[in-house]
Amino acid sequence: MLPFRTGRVGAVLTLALLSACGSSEPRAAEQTEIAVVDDAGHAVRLAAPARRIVSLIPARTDAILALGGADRLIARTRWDGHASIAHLPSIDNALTPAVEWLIAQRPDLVIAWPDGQARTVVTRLRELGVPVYASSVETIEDLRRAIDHLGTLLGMTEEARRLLGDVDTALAQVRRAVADSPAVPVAYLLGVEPPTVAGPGTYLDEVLTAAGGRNVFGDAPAKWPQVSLEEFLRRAPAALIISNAGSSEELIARLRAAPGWRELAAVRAGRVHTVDADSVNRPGPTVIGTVQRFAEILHPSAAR
Amino acid sequence: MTRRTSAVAVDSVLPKLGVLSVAVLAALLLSIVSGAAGIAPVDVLSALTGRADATTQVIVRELRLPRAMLALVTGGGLALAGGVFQALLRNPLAEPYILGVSNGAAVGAVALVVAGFGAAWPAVIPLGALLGAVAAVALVFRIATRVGHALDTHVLLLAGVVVGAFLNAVILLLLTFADVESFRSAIFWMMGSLAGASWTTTGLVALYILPASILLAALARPFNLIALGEETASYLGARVERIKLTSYVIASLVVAAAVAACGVIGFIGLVVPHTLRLLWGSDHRLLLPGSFLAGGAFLLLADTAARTVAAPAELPVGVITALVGVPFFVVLLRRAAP
Repeated sequence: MLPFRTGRVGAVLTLALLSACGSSEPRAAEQTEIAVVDDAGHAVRLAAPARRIVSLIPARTDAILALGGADRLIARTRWDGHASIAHLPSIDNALTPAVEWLIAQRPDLVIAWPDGQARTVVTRLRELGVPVYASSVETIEDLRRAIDHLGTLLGMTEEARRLLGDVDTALAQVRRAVADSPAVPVAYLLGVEPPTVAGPGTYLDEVLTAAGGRNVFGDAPAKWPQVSLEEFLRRAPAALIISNAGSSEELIARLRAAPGWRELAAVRAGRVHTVDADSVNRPGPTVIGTVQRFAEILHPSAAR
Repeated sequence: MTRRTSAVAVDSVLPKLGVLSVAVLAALLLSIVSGAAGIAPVDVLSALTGRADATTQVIVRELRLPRAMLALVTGGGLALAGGVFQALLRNPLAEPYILGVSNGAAVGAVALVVAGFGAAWPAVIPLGALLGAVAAVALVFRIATRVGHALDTHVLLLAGVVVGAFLNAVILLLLTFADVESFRSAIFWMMGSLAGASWTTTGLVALYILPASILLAALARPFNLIALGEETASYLGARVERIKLTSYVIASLVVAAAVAACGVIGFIGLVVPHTLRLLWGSDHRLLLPGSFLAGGAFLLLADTAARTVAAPAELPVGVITALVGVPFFVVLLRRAAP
């Protein structure tokens, strides 16, 4: 019975917030104010473009850097290695940030997963009046929306338009280059032990397709399923792309010695390619490089 | 005779509870002056009296204080519930989650997270947890109580274990189909954390746990009799069945509220009552209120460590309670061994 009350309070607050956004504000204020609806369905309203931003999501940090907003960031996570923000205080892994530390940085915008952190960080920040943009990017379309929203929140709409143009151009160029080649059956693995693959509805599934691949796990029942070796043999990918696995040569040598793996056509043909986890697994502006790299892997002749 | 023993007991109970209360106050002070934001103790004091800048004031009064209070109340509730379960089940391994409460709460919460409620309606997650916990308790009691029979402690224990195992399988099944974010969120939920403390949640949890704890502590005398054996207790005039059922249900609901607010925080309910038993004997008139105070202080200190050790990141508080609590307990056990 007790959290039910919490739930009602939450609901009432949200309703109040929504109705406040909907009607009661005067029109003039709305024009000068910055407002977007984030991926949790909350309205994020800023009086001015965000200047003190804490991004808890490395891929969104990448997007802010690509927009040229490095000087707007006031903290970074352990995963943000870019030189322009290396001097900023780090909030370590960003999954369980101390709310009081965030508050003490006096941010005017916090970018966070809708519910990926310790469940309550976003709720607590909102309750204390810190604007939070909750962002969840699963597809290329999500990524485009995120870049667009960041452009609005940072007052960098022109830069965002240009970045979106670059992303669209890169995708279109690659799609054109591989259009005449038959799609290559491929699997993308987050790691080998255990084999966790990109399934349907993921950003990497889309990038594989754009680069002229056919994700053999595109019909899996989950987005990031762990699959058995048997399933690999049955689905017979002609190429494997793997992150978090060291160099391609070493990995091929290892897989050729491993029972089961060595029966796989992709391993026998040496079509096993390792990629940098940080740039490939993060759905951000790195999509440009990723789609080009995938096309080179899948269609070496067409992509050149 | 009775009057004299109880007078003697009161003489020795009150000073010990006084010592524990001082420990609680010391833990509270330490907790409020420490934190990732690195505020000087002087500024913390001026924040308490309303003379600090707005940010400091928010940090001390809206983040640290409600969180410290939540730690005291849930830590106390969990330790007290642990002591009650150990008394009723007459099993030293009994802990607050033994009747499947934590698994029930986790199923409720994880189901809502995986269904996608976590992002848009985070406030419904504790509700799901509470419903899940209560449903698990109801299921366990349904299995353990057969019409016309007394509540069999052994059956209750077994029912708790198997229902817990079943619900655990359900959680793993749910997580198999979760996306990465829901998965992470669900795992965090199950690890236990006090990071969500606000005056609202703390107040609601206190409204619920404090009266229940007083009620349980008031049953200390019948618990002392039950500790001698249920049969003996009923000869001595305790209404054993009624006391058992009432206190099981109340203690389970205390745990359900704690789990709903903070997730699963292990070891407090096991280690704290046993420690007090080893130090001061097993008179429940001291053990139960003592467990509440000591459990509160212990969780508060553990959470303070969780907030500061790896700052600005936070550690799961359950990691601290186990890492510190278990070695401490092992030392006590060895010292108590003949």
